[in-house]
Amino acid sequence: MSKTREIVENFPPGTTEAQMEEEQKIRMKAGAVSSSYKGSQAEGWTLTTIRKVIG
Amino acid sequence: MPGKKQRLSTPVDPGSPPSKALKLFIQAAGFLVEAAGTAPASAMPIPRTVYCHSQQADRAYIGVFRGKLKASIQIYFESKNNCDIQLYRFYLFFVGRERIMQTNSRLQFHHPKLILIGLLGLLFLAGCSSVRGYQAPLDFDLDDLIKEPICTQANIDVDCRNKYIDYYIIQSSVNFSEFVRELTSERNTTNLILDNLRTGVDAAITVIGGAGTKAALGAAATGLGGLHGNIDKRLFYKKTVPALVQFMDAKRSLILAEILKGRAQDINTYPLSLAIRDLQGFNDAGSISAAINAVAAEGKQQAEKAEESLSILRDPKFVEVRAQVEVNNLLDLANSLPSGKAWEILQNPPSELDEFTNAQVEGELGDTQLSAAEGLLGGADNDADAKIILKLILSILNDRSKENLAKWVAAVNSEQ
Repeated sequence: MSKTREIVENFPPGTTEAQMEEEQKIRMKAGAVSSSYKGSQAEGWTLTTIRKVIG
Repeated sequence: MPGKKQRLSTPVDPGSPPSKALKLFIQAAGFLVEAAGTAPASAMPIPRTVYCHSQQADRAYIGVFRGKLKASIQIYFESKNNCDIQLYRFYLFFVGRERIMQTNSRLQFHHPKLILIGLLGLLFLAGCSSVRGYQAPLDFDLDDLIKEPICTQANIDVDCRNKYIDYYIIQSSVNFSEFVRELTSERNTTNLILDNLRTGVDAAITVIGGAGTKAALGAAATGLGGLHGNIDKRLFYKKTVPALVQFMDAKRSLILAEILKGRAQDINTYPLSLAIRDLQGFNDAGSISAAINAVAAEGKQQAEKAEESLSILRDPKFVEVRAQVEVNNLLDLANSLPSGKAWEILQNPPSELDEFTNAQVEGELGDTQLSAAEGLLGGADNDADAKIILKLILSILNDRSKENLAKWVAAVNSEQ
């Protein structure tokens, strides 16, 4: 089973859900195993991306 | 004849337990005989006069393992054939062919001098076990077992295998309880534990998960920090040993569960060779080094998890629509790079990578710096991985300013 890494990015309040959805798509396009966000426009968001380790 | 032998009688108040060593003796024998007399259908020379009352175990020494031992004994007595061989060997193992009698709150000993020698020997052996840092090894003697009436046939069948398993589970459990008893006596083992910790696992211990164990082993790390000064060895001991015992016990419980699972299977599914391997593992798990290795492994996992969870707080400009569109286009361009070109861009990136991006790239390369990743990313065979890394950089690069992204667009376009 391949080893994975988790990348956590926090986005400030005011960021819209549409922007988060776009970021999620960018992470997936860049080769992520999965990417998901949680939070709200009022409180800010956390984007968690899982990627496979190459080395 | 018992009546002709020298006999030492001593009144025993049921409310006042005997000495520790004697208690261990009684406990050990107490596991064997649940009622006065001897085992059912016994044909072996176990004196029917022997009755060892199963006294409440002292939890500081053996109590925590009593459950396992009792389970083993229960299995032992539930077996279809008589269990005289183990019973007798177990009896010899502890009692040394002497007799301990307890009747109506009175202990009666035959050959008190020999009993005394046995007790001293037991104490000596117990001391040795803790000084070594591991319990006594199991002495697998298949020949002896086959000679016994329970294994007369040439082939080892399920009954024989299970009696073999039971015998060594009991032996190891009692060895382990001895070992733990000695560990908790604070004698000679503080330096041993310190020596083990000095071998390099101390750093890992400080990041262990589990609040209780972390706190306990934090004391160990603190102790190590003061190795050149005065260590409060008593505090160190009090905090560290229970945590190590906890790890040993947890590991042994896991292996024991596997053994008992195998014990219920047929001889082809769980042959004696596998049982011996598991029994050795069960026994070996009862050592300080095994416990410290378990602690170190857990600490390492925690450290890796912490490292992999590095986070960053993005600037509002990072998610501007203009920036997101440009990054999206850049990813498409990176996908269409000819073979080998992604690695060329990575060797000479058009702008310096920020700390967060650098750390993520290095992590994804298995702690290899990008500048030293030719073996992982160079050449046509690794082109797909090189593109993956390039796209990772483009997707998380913190500087998404128009100027910076333009540099990357230019670099990628120049390689098309």
